Amino acid sequence: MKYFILSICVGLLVVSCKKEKVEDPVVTPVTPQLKVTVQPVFGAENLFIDSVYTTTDGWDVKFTEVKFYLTHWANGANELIDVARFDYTENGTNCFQVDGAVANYGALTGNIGVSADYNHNDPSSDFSSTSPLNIMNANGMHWSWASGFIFVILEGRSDTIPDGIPLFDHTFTYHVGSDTYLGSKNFPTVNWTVAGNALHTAEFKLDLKKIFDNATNPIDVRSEFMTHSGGSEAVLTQKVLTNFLEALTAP
Amino acid sequence: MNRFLFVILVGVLVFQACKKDQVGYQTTPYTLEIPSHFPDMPIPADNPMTEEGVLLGRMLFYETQLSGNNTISCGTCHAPESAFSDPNQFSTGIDGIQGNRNSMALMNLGWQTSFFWDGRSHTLEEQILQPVINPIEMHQSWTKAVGKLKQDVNYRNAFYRAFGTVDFDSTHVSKALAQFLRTMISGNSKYDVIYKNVNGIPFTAKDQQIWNTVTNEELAGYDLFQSLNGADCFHCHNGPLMQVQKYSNNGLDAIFTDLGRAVVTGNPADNGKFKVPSLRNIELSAPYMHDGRFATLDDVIEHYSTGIHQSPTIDPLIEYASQGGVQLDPDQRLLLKAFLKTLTDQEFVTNPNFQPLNH
Repeated sequence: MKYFILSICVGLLVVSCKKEKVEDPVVTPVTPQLKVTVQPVFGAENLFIDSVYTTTDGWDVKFTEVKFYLTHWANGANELIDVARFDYTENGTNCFQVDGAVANYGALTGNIGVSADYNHNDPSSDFSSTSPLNIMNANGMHWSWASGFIFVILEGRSDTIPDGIPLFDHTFTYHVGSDTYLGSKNFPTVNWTVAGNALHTAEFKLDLKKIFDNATNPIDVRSEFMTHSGGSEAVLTQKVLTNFLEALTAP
Repeated sequence: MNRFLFVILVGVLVFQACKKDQVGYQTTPYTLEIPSHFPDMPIPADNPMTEEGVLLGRMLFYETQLSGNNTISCGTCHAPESAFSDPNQFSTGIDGIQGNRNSMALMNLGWQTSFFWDGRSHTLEEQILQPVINPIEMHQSWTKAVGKLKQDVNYRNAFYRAFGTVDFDSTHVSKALAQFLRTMISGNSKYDVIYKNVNGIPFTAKDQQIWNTVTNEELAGYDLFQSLNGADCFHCHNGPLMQVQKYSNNGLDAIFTDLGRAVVTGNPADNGKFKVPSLRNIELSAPYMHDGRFATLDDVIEHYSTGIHQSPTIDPLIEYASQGGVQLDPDQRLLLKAFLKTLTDQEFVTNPNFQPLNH
């Protein structure tokens, strides 16, 4: 009996001392990703919130909010993203990052704004909590009174009294929304830059000087300082949208 | 050999008998009653909602031992009868010192992305840690506050049931209070039914009953509230929460005595900006603004009508600032006030689940 117990103990000792078998490492395939950023600029210089820039007309302006939605950005049948929200104050230049291979997205077409298939849904219950269209994430970009989203928000202050005193006591508020003003944008070429092992980025530019300074659609911030896309504001709303679309360019 | 086996057996039995009993702790998930027109509430992964945590939080909300001299609780400055706010312009701490900001009305905190008028806390759990140690509020170290609670067997049991420990600390207090506060959902006012109607959200039978009581004056006031050429309130106060998550200078002053958000950020562009509050239960939560300067809703309407002050950081959404405000006439003011009162949620302010336990 003693030998029996002894042999069990020795056996356990041998088992416990046995070198653990090292499993072959599992190689997880790396999923390629694409990241889109948008850098607001004012002419040749990067734009910063609450910093002063001068329009061609000579008026000083400061932007306080630069936000917009984009929907259904795709290259042909390859949809890159269904919806994203850009908010320069809140998120900086980041717009979105998704799975995707560079080879499929050498060109892009899509909407600036929220397409009609989403625009009139209930922002509380029809979108997941992570969707940019969920009311918690829309944060001021949904008009409950108009049952739709605000597509583009540009807000700021201006100083249009040339007395050298930087009062900035006038404001501008451009809110573009409603199905009528859904913008469409085509980027025939998008140049992606290697940013890591499996990550490529494309830095779009948004030249906000072009909101005011446009050869065919100039906006005088003194007199054209407010639109909420209402019926009586059609002219200014269309000008803001047109100029915004021209201001956004691909790398 | 038999004796050898017998000794082994007795040894095993003695070992088992001496093993310390493990007392089980089992929490019950708490199901939030979120109105159909509200978004999902984000719950932090490290503080899931439990029945035990909510009950403990409710005990703590009305617990005066959290203050240095055992005289005030959270519920003192956020009183149920004042829609969980303070009817005084400034709340008074245990040492008789007043702050310089009005107590915010509590509701729908689970959806907030910042706390305090200047947004200095980013989470509810973080916010809760501040008033206890603030010298002008409850003025007590967390060590002392927790020490007092540990003397109480009811709290030791309650903390154990909620978190599985009797060695609790301020983070457990904060988590329990946060759980309770997240249950305080206000979404059952006349405004909610108006919101559902405007957004095509189906009515329940109860909604229909409420809708039948909505007056023409209230609806006209709503139109004014939403109108760009009317009261123009909706930019900052909209959606189910009746607010947007931002900081705004709403034209109260030309020169600031309280820098607001800029105290936190150090950015002069934030001078005079404060968190946009919800307008829910505004009829019951006077006085108004970050410093409680307006005693009545009439005062507030007067401010936005003719009392706007220009300043370098005024919100561009105060669109009629250059003419001093939106210039409402007396009839419009009455209609707007009628609408503001539709934001009162009596079911919320009288909900027995939000009252002190011995209420």
